[in-house]
Amino acid sequence: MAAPTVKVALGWSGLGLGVRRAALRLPGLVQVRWSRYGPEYQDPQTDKEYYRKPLAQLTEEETYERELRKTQVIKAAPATKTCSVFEDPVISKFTNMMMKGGNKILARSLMTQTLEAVKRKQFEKYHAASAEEQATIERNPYTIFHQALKNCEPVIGLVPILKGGHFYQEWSGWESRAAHV
Amino acid sequence: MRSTCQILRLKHSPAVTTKKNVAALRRESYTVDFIKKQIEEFNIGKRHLANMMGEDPETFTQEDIDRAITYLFPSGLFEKRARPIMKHPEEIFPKQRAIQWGEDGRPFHFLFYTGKQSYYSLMHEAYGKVLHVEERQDQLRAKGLFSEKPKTKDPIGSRWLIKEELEEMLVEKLSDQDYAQFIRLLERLSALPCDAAEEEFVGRFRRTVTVQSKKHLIEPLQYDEQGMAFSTGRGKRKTANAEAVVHGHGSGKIEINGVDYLLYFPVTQDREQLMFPFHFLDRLGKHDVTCTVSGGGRSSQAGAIRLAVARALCSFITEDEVEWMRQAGLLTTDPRVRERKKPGQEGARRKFTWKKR
Repeated sequence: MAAPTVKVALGWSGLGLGVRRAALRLPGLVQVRWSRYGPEYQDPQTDKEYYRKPLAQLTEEETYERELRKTQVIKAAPATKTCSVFEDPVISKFTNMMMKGGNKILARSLMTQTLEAVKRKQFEKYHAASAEEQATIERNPYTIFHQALKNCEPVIGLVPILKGGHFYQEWSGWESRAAHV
Repeated sequence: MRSTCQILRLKHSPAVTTKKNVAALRRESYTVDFIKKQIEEFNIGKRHLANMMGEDPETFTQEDIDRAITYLFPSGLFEKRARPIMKHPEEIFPKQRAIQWGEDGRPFHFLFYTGKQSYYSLMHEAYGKVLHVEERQDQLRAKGLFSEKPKTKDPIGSRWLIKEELEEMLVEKLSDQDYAQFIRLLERLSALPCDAAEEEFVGRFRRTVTVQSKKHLIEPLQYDEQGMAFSTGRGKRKTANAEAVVHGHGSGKIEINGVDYLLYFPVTQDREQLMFPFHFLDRLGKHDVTCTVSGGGRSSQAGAIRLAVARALCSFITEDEVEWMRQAGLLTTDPRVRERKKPGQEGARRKFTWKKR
């Protein structure tokens, strides 16, 4: 059954709106993928160091950007983001992808248990090893996770190469393969 | 003599037409005399209304009129535009063109046959100014008096007119390319060393941009019996409502509905959200919070408390820090709510399983 083009009347609760631009809207067509935020809303910047930087050290572009941000409306920070130093965007993304049925509690607990298990294993190895080997053993589970993710990335890939007026899909990336293994 | 009223089409013709109503499909035109009469009637009506409400007719403003109308004609209609209004005819009847040609049928403006006479005459004027400035520059260069004055970059306090505003100004429909061309020409003009007259010409097409943080009203600090400073804030998220009282001096205790935060929010993520405003301002163990929250689930209650706490903290900190909090997204109410389920679909977005037969 064809989904009716539903036009939702957006009611804002106590928000100051900028001018709502209809730039991407064609007349007679209603957008199906919409957001509760208007197109003028910018993403929030939760990094503390960005704001603590003294004004004297900023470049011209940064001062311009600062001034510009003062005039823009900003979205609310999502519930998963904080200014904590322990927050890792890669880990958060992985937790979200692990999540099933919206069970964030379970996904996050599994993630923390995994990292803890990795750390424990590495510490056991560390304590069992001699002085020279101890320098090579990595104990930070976050670096291990990042390295593991990088190792999982594909090395070779298909690339369109123009030969004789036709595009052929050929494999490339062989050079980095030997170094990777 | 034919009726020479070349006026823009104002109202949409009704969807249902019968053969008898052909006259209604004609373009509705408002003559200048009609508008004048409407303005006179409006002014007289305004005075009558002021007398009715027992106020001074001389100092009766538009807000007073709106209040009087809502009092005299209370309406429960959801569509605001369908409610009774009493506004100046300039705002109700859209702007139109006066007659653009004389008795003999000859148009007044030399660019009438372009179709967009105001737009092209504006472009013509702007380009004339550009040529004039360049000519002046050449003359100075010839005399040797020309000095390369670097143009100061305009700080962000103003913006160009948007297309809708320009259309309203010129009373003409424009295309996106026309608008872009016009803005490019104005930028070219503003990049050259201009006179006061040219600056004034460019200034007509600039609007000031408001600084967003000024819109927030910061409550002043309140003091209780012991003389300790405290501040209240309210927050909302989905269907959760929270009210928080932040005390000036404390040890970082947070009490929610009479229960400690560790017991109320067993999940780490929610507690991180409560700590977010304090951690952002480096005031982690310095304030005590007592708050009440109702409605919503665990995550939305945490979000509501976060917003309430951030708003309450605004009274304790400097204006710069308030701006930083706003840019970090701590002071914005999250407008995302649960999307309704639509008929013919299983959920808000999920469709029923498609079966080929």
